[in-house]
Amino acid sequence: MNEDRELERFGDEALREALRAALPEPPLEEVDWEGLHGRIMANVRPWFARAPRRQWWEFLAGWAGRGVPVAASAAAAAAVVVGFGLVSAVGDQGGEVVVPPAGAVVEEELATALPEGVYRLLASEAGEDALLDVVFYEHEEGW
Amino acid sequence: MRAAARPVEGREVARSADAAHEAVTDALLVERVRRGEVEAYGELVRRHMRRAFSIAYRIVRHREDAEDVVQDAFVRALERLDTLKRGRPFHPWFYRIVVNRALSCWRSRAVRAAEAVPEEAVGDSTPEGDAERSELRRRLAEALDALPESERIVVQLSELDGLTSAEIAEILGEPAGTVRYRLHQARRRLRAALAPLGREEE
Repeated sequence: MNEDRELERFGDEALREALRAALPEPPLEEVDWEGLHGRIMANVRPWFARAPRRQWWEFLAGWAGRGVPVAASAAAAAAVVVGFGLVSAVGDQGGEVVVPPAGAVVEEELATALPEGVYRLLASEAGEDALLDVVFYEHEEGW
Repeated sequence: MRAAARPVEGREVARSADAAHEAVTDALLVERVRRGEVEAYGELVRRHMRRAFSIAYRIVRHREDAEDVVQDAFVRALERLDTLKRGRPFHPWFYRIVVNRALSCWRSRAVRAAEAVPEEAVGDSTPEGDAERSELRRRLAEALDALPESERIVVQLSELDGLTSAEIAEILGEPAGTVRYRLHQARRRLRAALAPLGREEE
């Protein structure tokens, strides 16, 4: 205990100060920093010259495995949707381009996509209950 | 009491924010270096060469040797950049290389005399005061040199370079608890070396 008390004569802060005073500070002002930087860079340039310079697209290669199929699928889906819309929306009648009303295209799409019972009810503006019955019934049947 | 603690906390928060920002921008530079951009490495060198020099100098205690250590460390770091895992901060990894190169330099040139400790007077310069300070410096320098290498490095990085236990642990590749224990042991030994001086003062 006495020894510990004796040692605590120099607290952490006092010890730090004593160490800083006892040892020389790094002579930062004596260093030619530009010169040192230049020497370091002269030493590392051969490494950069030897190492093949990778281009930005090479970093994309790592993503290509997953990214390309996803992008291709998205592009194909977009093309189908846009193309289908154009074909449906733009008809050629005797050289004159006729654009059918948007509602007609939507109805056509719904009639194709939805089960017959559901579409019929939607078209007839049936009540919610009747619609839900059909949906659940159709769902159980495998819709 | 609380009011006195706040500025310190504020400084610590600011320091850790700066460190985090530096780590992120370092990581971006490292990625550019991996792509072969020599300019990015030049920027990393500019950022870290001063602190690397300070750390190396504390170990080798010779300006030209410390410069050589820094130069070697940057070349070595570039050659081993593939071993720096993505997501790990650059600076502890790099300072570890600096410490290892500096220790290697110190061991190989141990026979060469270190630069003389400057004896310039600080504060009051009475002959008695100068003599006491000179004696204190001599004993501390001797005590520091007498420490086991693992403890000496921890003391230098902590007390002189101002690194935290966590940073030192990262640099030395050891658990933070081990670093703290070594620091505690080293302080104890250094105090023991200074204790007779305290008694004489009484």
